[in-house]
Amino acid sequence: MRCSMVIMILLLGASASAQTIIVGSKNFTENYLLSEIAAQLLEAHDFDVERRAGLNGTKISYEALRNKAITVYPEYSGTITEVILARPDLHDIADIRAALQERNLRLLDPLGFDNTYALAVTREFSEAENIRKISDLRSRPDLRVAFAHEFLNRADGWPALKQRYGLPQTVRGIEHSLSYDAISQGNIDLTAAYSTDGEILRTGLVLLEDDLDYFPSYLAAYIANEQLPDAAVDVLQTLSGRIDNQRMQALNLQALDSDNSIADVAAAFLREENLVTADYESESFLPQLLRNTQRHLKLTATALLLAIVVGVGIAMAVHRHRGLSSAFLYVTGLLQTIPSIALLALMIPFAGVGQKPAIIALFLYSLLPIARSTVTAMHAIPPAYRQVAAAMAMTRLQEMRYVLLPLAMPHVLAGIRTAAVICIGTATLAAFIGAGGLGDPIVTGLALNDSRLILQGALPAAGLAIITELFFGLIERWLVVPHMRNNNQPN
Amino acid sequence: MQDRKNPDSAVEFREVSLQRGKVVALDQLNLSLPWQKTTAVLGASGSGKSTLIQLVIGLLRPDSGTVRTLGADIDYANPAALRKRIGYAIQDVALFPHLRIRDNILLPARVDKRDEEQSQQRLDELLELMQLPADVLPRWPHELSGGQQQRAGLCRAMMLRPELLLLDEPFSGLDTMTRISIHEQFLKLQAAEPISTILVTHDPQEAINLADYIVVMKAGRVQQHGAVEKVVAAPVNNYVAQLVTALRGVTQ
Repeated sequence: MRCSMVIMILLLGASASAQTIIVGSKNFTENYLLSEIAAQLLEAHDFDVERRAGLNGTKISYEALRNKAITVYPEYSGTITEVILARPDLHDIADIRAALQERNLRLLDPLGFDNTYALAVTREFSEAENIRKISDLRSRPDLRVAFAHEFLNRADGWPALKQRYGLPQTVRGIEHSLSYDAISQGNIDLTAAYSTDGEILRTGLVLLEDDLDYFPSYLAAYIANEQLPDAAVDVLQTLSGRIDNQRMQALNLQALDSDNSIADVAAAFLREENLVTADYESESFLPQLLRNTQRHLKLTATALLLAIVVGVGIAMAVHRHRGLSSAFLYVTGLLQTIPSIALLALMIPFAGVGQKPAIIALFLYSLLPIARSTVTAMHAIPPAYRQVAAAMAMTRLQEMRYVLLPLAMPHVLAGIRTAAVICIGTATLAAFIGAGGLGDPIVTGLALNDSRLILQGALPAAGLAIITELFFGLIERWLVVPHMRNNNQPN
Repeated sequence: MQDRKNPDSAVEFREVSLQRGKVVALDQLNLSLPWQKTTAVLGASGSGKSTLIQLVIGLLRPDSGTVRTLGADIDYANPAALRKRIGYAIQDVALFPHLRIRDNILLPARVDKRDEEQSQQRLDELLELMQLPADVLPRWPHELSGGQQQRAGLCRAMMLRPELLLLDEPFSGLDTMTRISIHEQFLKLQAAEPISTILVTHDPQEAINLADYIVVMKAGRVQQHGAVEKVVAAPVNNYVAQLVTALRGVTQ
């Protein structure tokens, strides 16, 4: 127990060194791009940079910044006032900056464009139905509407917009990157878009005029905590005012083309602006795969090790007591019913963002299969064997070693095997809270609607699951006598 | 070793009662079992005979009354010392499936941290006595015939040269021919290493073949006890009479 705690702390400690600037991003194209531009620019000025891309939404990104799981990420003024500060009365950048200062956060100068929310319809629909302003929607309760979950729920999103304009529609939630497919294929009539989104150019959408001037402005700017050195602040400030709305839409559109990686688009931009002269060497496929796989293994192995120690330990301690063991199984079963992404999000207030909460969540997930199989295995041991053990005057420890553990081992191993495979699968979701691993390309791929990227994470994860199966097959051969192995029960 | 002239019995029950769930397993049992004899406890299932054997080794504790085993009241807080002087074998599942026959038989010695070389000698000695071929040693229990498994179980029970041997239906589930041959081996073993033995069985034939002394039980009460010949010759009630009548022809 103590040993594995030490291992966990070592693993967690090793990843964060004080000098490294960790550049985060939320999980949509523009934010990836701005984050990558900052990362490359800092690297060109010889800063140590680590990327923590694809954080799932504002809450997680902000928590990550507060907890120093990241150092800097691109944010928008409207999001800062509405979501982070809950001060919709603030409009001036200087006021916002002062309010953030109180929280020891630093807002850099805006980059130059205003990526406000906008409601979007297709051009044909707009012309056919004569809908050009948001107030035109009042008389059309029949429209099929779907919004990204964040827009549906935030204070300055749909609820207040609906009230301000008196809109009658009922809406559904949809993954943001899927909403463009949905609207261009005619599955929905209306969605919310970011006004600099490259998809607007590609899909041929028109943005409805905000005739009541409802949406606050969303000026993009880097937000950082006190760990960003002043020298790095100066470097990032050279970007201020350089990107207007048209430029951002064009950059976003380039990034959408799956032949260009985010890194390529960022590098091209920095060269055009003469901010970087050297060619950018993007990390090639193999080292990236190795790094992700290594991280993935670290997450799952640490969580699994903890779950084995705790799960088997508690199961061994309580299995003699029917009531206690069912209570234990009930609690671990309850944990299993929490959706994995929700469990990961629930971890943030306690454990922040990054690998620690991911490991805790994976540990909780692995607990049930391991604990259940151990308790079941112990209950399945015929009482006669225990009688014989007792009649031989075995001590508790000897009974464990000579009788209970070997008899329970096949079941326990089967439980650990199941937990390991679940862990490897669930760990891909941990990228949403900045834990990295093979989920990184999956999350990025989802955000960019790039199935090649998704496969770059999904295939190795599947391979890892298969290797894990084989690995546990070997462990079973080593620990369990032939006729008691799971695939070879004598009848 | 115990003193033959010691007036104490090998095992003594005084006013022992025990309830298991709602069933009265034993009801005010008084019984003394002699040194260095084989005592058969005979009864149908549910008669309390297995309960009796578990009381002797302290696996169960009576609700009231006392059990004296090997000359002393059982110390329930610390039964290990007593248990190491007792060999115990039960039917069917006697052998651990995850241990080879050699390791099964040697297990009591290993648990007691005995010298490995001496244990090996004892193992050879037991194989000889039980007429088990040495080639069963590296095999798994399920690879052995029922008779060989029972013999291996007996070897394990005898490993530490116990002063008392407890056998709970050790020869049930065997075909008649095998049982007869095991009975012969058991009698030879008893001749070579005389040892106080309690044998629980539901088979009157087995009781009469192997035991010197017999205890007939029904519903937690002793119906009759005494030397085998006496019980066979003069059953005290109908139940005992029915059990032994069928066998009279065989024994005479």
